[in-house]
Amino acid sequence: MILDLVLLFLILLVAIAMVITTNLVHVVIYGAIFSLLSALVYLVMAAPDVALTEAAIGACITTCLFLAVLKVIKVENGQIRSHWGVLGACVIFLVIICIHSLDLHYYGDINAVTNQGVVDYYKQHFAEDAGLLSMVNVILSSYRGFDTFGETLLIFIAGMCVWLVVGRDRFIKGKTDEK
Amino acid sequence: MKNNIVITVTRFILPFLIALGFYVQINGSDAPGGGFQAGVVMASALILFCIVFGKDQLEKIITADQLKILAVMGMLLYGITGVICIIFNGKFLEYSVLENYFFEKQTLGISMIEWGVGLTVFSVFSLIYLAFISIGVKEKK
Repeated sequence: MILDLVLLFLILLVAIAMVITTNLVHVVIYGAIFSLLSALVYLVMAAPDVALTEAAIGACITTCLFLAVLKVIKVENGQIRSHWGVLGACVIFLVIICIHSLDLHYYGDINAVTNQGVVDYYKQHFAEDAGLLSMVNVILSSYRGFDTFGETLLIFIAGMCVWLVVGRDRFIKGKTDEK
Repeated sequence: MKNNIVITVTRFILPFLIALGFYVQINGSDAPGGGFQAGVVMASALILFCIVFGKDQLEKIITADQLKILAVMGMLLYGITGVICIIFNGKFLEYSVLENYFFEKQTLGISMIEWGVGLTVFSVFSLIYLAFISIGVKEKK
């Protein structure tokens, strides 16, 4: 409980620092710290799958991608000017999120929508249906196998589109020609 | 990057990172993790190698074209598993028809599609990073 509160307080501090700073590199580093703390929070909430994903995607790959992009765009030392309009947009967004967060259920609430429906069936039958020990894996790949197929296809198409837009096939071929 | 400390630490840490990726992939059916997480860990290992030793060293091991082929192979592995289930008188992605003496219930089908997901995620994230890296290289020249 105390660990939970300390982690959430640290996340709040990092988020405020991320909003206030005017250096883009600092923003990226704060984002990495934010993701690591979020991963710890997920671990405390007994969701190790999500924690593993958050630590690898949020802290490692997203940071590397943003740093690679910062190398490409032209910003002097990563400094950006702050606008009052941005602050206003942030405040409006914060108010909307606070209003909607009142509708959220408490953590572990048995009456929440996500804890009703087919969840009971999954909990009781996943071991005898699939013969595996990991319920998350059985739900993702067996009960929801078609959805996972679509997600994998989505990732594949996204990667190919990024390579089509910014990849340099021509550059790599030219380099091999020189040799 | 030619810093001795960084290079030494990277040489020490890379085998463990790759081993963690394979562990998460193979043991994903009984422990936290799975194909997606394993692919991301392996991609982060590749990105670390690319940052420390440079893109030229990376192209001696694996090139962007090979990564594209790997991504397609991952998707094909997923799809072909579904088609194999149809051939064995099941529905699309109904793994229980693949049960035999070595693999009980749906274990074989699930591990096959996890390998497909892992392969695709690994290649796609590496490919996205290589795409952004190659923009910067072109502007320098």
